[in-house]
Amino acid sequence: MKILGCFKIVPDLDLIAEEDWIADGQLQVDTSYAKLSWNCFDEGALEMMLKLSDLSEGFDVVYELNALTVGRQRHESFLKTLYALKFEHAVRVEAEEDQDIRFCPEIIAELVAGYIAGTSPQDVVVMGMQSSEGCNMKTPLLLAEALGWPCITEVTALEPVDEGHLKVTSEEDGRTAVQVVGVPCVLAVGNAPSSYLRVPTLKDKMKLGKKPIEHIVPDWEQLLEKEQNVELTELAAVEERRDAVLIEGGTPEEKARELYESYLKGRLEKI
Amino acid sequence: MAIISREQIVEGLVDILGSEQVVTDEQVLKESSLDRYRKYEQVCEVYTQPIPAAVVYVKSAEEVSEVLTFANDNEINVVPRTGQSAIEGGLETALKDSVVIDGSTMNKVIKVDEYNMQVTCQCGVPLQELDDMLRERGYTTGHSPQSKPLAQMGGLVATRSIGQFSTLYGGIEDMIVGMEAVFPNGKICRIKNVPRRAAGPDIRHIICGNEGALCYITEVTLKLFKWQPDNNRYIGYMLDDEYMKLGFDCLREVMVEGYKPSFARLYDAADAQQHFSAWLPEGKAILIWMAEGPANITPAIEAGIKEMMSKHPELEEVDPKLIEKWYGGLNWGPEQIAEEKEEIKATQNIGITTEVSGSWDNIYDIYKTACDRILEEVPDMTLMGGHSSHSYINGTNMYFVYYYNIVDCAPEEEINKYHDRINQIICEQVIKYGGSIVHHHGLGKARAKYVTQEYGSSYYMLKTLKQAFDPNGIMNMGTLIPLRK
Amino acid sequence: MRYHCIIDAYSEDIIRQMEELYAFKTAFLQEAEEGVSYVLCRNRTVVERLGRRISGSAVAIIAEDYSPESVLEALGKETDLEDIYIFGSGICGTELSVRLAARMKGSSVAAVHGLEWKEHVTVKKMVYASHMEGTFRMKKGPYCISLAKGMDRQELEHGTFHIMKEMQCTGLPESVVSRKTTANEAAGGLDEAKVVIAAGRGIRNKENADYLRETAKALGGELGVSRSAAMNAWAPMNRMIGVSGAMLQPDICITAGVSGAAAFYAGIEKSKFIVAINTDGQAPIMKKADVAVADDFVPVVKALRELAER
Repeated sequence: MKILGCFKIVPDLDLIAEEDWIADGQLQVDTSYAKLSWNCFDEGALEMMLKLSDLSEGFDVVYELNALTVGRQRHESFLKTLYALKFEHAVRVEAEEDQDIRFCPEIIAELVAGYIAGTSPQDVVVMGMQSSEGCNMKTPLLLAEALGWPCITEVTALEPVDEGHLKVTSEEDGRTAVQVVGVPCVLAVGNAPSSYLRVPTLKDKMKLGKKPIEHIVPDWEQLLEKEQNVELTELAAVEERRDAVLIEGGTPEEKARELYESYLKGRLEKI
Repeated sequence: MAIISREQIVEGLVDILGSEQVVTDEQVLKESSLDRYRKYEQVCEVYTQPIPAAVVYVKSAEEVSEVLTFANDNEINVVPRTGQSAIEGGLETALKDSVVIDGSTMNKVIKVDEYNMQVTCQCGVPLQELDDMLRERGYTTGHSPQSKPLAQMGGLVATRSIGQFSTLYGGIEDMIVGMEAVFPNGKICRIKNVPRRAAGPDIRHIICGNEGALCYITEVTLKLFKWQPDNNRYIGYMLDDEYMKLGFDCLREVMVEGYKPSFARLYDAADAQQHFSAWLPEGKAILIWMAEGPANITPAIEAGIKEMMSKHPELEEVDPKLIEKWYGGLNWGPEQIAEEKEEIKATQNIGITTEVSGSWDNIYDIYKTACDRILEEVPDMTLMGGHSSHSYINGTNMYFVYYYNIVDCAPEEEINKYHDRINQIICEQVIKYGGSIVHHHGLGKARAKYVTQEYGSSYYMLKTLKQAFDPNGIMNMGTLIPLRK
Repeated sequence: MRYHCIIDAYSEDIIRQMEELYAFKTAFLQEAEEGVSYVLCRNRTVVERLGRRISGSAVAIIAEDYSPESVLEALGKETDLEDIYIFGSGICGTELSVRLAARMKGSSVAAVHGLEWKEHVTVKKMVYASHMEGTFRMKKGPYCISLAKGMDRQELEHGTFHIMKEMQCTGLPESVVSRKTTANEAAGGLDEAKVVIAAGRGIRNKENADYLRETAKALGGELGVSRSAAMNAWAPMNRMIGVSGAMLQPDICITAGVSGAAAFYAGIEKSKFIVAINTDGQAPIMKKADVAVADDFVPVVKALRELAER
C-alpha cells in the first residue's frame, strides 16, 4: 500500500516577539528568524504512518511510505530526516521565498492532486488538518475533492487490515468513530496524542539521508495568476491586554489570600 | 552512614524544625534522590539511588546549624539544595538515609545597596526574580545562566556557575562579595563585604564551588552593574563547519586584542541547526558576539570585532537582527523541562550536555577528537555537536551537546550504556589534551571519579579541605570526592 | 442572494449550533434574504421535536448515519450558485463547507467570525495561530463558510420548522466496510462552566492536573488544559482549550502554568475575569490577565482552595 504523507514546515510562532506581529505591504508577517519545525498536525500524521508501518508485521501488508512538501530549499533537511526514518521517496515541490502561498490551499491541493494523478499514484494520503500559519483547514478536503476520494477528518489512529483496507479511528462531533475503509482515501489528522516524530540516528542519516529528493518545479506564475476564489485582503494584529494587576506578597499563601479576598470571593459568591 | 535509624532521624529533625518543615512523602523523597544527570531514570520514574529519609525546609542559618549539628553527631549524610537545576549528580543522595536540606524557602532579598553597588540575598532567592527586580531599577547582577528560571543563589555559588555574559562580567566567582555559610559542626561563618582584601588566602573560595561537600551557603552578596540593554550590539558570522578551528581562532583574536564583549560564542553546524535552522544553511557553523555596556563603548567593540573578522574570507556576515531575536528566547525553565520529559517518553530520544574547558592550543583537539570518538564508539547517536560560549584571554570552554535514541535498554541500564560512556570519552580526551573536565556545571557525582586526574598533585589540597571541614563525612558524600566502593 | 444554515442533528450540541447560527445571522445578515435551513438528521421527527427554529422552513437531509460523502451528494442538488451557506463550528461544519464549495466551484472559508455582504462577500477569521485576524474576499458563489468555535449565542425562537422537503441520502459510501461509533465521554460541562481552571504545560505533570481538577470542582468549576498539556496526556483530550479545543466564556478563569500562546488564549479571551498564575512574571499571559500572581501555582492554588473551602 502506497501512502503519501504531506507536510508543511512552519516557523515556531511562539518565538515571534509581540511587536513583530505586523503585516507588510504584501500582507506578510516576518517570521524568518523563528526556528523551523514540523507543523504539529503534520508531525502527528508522519509519526502515525511510521507506527502503522511498525504494526505491519503479521498483517502481510507492505507499506510504502512517501512524503511530499511544498516548500523552500531550507526545508529539505526535514525530507532527509524522513529518508533516514526509512521513508521510500521524498518530494519537494519548490516554492520560492517571495510567494505567499499560506492562504492558497487550492493551489497546494492542486499540486498534490497533480502529483498523484500525473506522476506517482498513491493509495492513501495522510496529512494534518491545518497549519499553524494559514489555519485554512482546507487542504486535505480540497485534495479529496480534486481526486474524487473519500476523506476522513480528525484522524487519531491508524491500524493495518490488509492490502486494500485500513482501520481508521477519528473524532466526529461528540463521538469517536472506528471504521474499516477501503483505499483510496484522504486522511486528515487532528489532535492525536503523543504526536512527536521519532528521531533517526546519525548513522541512518548518513546511510539513507543522501537519497536524492525529487524536485517538482511548478509554474508559479501561472498558478498564482489564476484567480483565487478566496483572497486575503487585510491582515491585522490582535492585541490582547487586560489590567494585569500584579498581586504582591511575601509568600504564595499571602498572595493567594490577597487574590481571594480582593478579587475572587465576591465573584465566586455571585455565581 | 547514619548511626541511628531512619525513624530516629526523622524524629530528631521534627524535634528541631517541627513537622511542617520535615517532608517524608514518598514521591517527594524519590524525586529528591536524584537530579537531571539521571534524566532518563527521572522520566521513567525509576529510582536507583538510595531514597533519602527526609527532605527538610530550613528558614534560617540557625536552623541549618542545628540540622547540621544533629547530622554531624549522628553521621547522617546531608545534601544541600536550592533551585534543583543540578545536572551532574550533585543532588543525588548517594548514601542510605540521607537528609536533603532545602533552602528554597530562605528567599528574602535582604538589601539592595545601590550606592555600594551590591545586593545581599538569602540562598533561596531565585536568580530570575532577583535580576528582574534589579533590572526594573536599572541594574543587573550580570549573571545569566541558561538555568536562570530555575536556579537560586545558594546553588549558583555552590556550583561555581557561569552565565551567558561571562566574557564581560565573569563567572559567579567574579561577582561574589561576602557570604555566610554553615559548617558541619554547626559553626556559622560570615565573610564581610569589602571590595578587595589581601588578608591571607581568599577564603570565599572554600565556599564558592564547594558543591555542598564542605558547607551550607545561607547568604550571598553579589556585585551590581548598570543595566543598559538599549546599547547592546550584536555581531554574527557564519562559516563552514570544517573551519571550526578558525572559529576558535576568531574567538581568540577578539580576546587577545583586548575587547570585552559580554557574549562570545561559536556553534558547530550540528548544534547551530538546533537554534538557527530558520535561516542558517545546513553545514554552517556560526560565530556570535554581543557588546554590552555604555553607549560609547559598544559601537567601538562592534567596529573592532567587525574589522578583525573582515580579514577572514571564510566568514560571511549575518544580519544582527537575527542574532538579537534568537537571543530574546534563550532561557530554559520548568515548562521546557516538562515538555522535554514527554518528548523523551514518546520518542525515546534524549539530549544531554557536558561542558569542559581548554586552552587555545588544545580546545579544537578536545572538541574534534571527543566528537569523533563518540560517533565511533557509542551506538544510536542522533546528534553530536557543541558550542563554545565562554572565552578568556588564555582559552575557552566547550559545551558538548548530544542526543541519542535509547534502544533495547532498561531505564536502570541507560546510564551505563550511553550517558556515562559518552561522559567518559569526553573526560578522557580532555585529560589527554590538558583541559579541565568541568567548566561550569560542577563535578557532582558524575565526574567525581575523575577528580584525581583532574587535580593531579593538588588533589592533596582538596582532600585536606574536605577532611578539615567535614571530618565525619556528612556533607554531600560522593560529590567532589568519590565514594570508596 | 439568500443565506441558508446547515444544522448537524447527529451531534448532541444541536441547540448550541442553532444558537450560534442564529446570533451570527442576527449580527451579520439582517439585510439579507432568509433561505431555508438544512437539517442533517436520522429522521424528520428529530427536527420536529426540537421545538425551536432559526428559519421558517427546513429541508431534512435524512440518513441512518452521518457520512460527509452522502450528505454532500444531497446538499449538492440543492445548492444555488448565488447563495451563502453557513455551517456550524463543529468538525462536520468545516468539512462540509469546504467540500461543498469545491464541488460547486464556489468559495469557502472555515472558522469565520465576521461577515460583510456588500459588493462582495468578505469574511473575517483568525490566522497565524490566532496571532492575527485575516479578512478574506470570497469571489465566487456559492459562498460556503463554517463558523469559528465559541461564537456568541442568541436564544432561539420557539416554534417548529416547516419541513418543506425530505431528502433521503444514499447509505454509507462503498469504501466504508464497517463503522462503529461511540459517544465521547462528555467533557463534564467544561463548555458551560462558570469557573474554569486552565492548566498549561507549566503544571509539569498529571498529578498536578488531577489536583487542579479537584480544586476546580471545589470552586464549583471545571478543569481545562492547553494543547500541550493534553498532548502530554495530563488530562483527557476533551479538556483541551483553544482554537483546536473548547472556546470558553466563563465568569472566572484561573490559569496555572500557562504561558499565553495566542491559540490557547483565544479559548479563554471571552472570560469575564482572568487570573494568571505563573512563575515567570514576564510570561505573555500576565499582561492578558485581569490579575496576575507571579509564583509557583502549587502553593498558591493550595492556599486558594483552603480559603474557598472555609
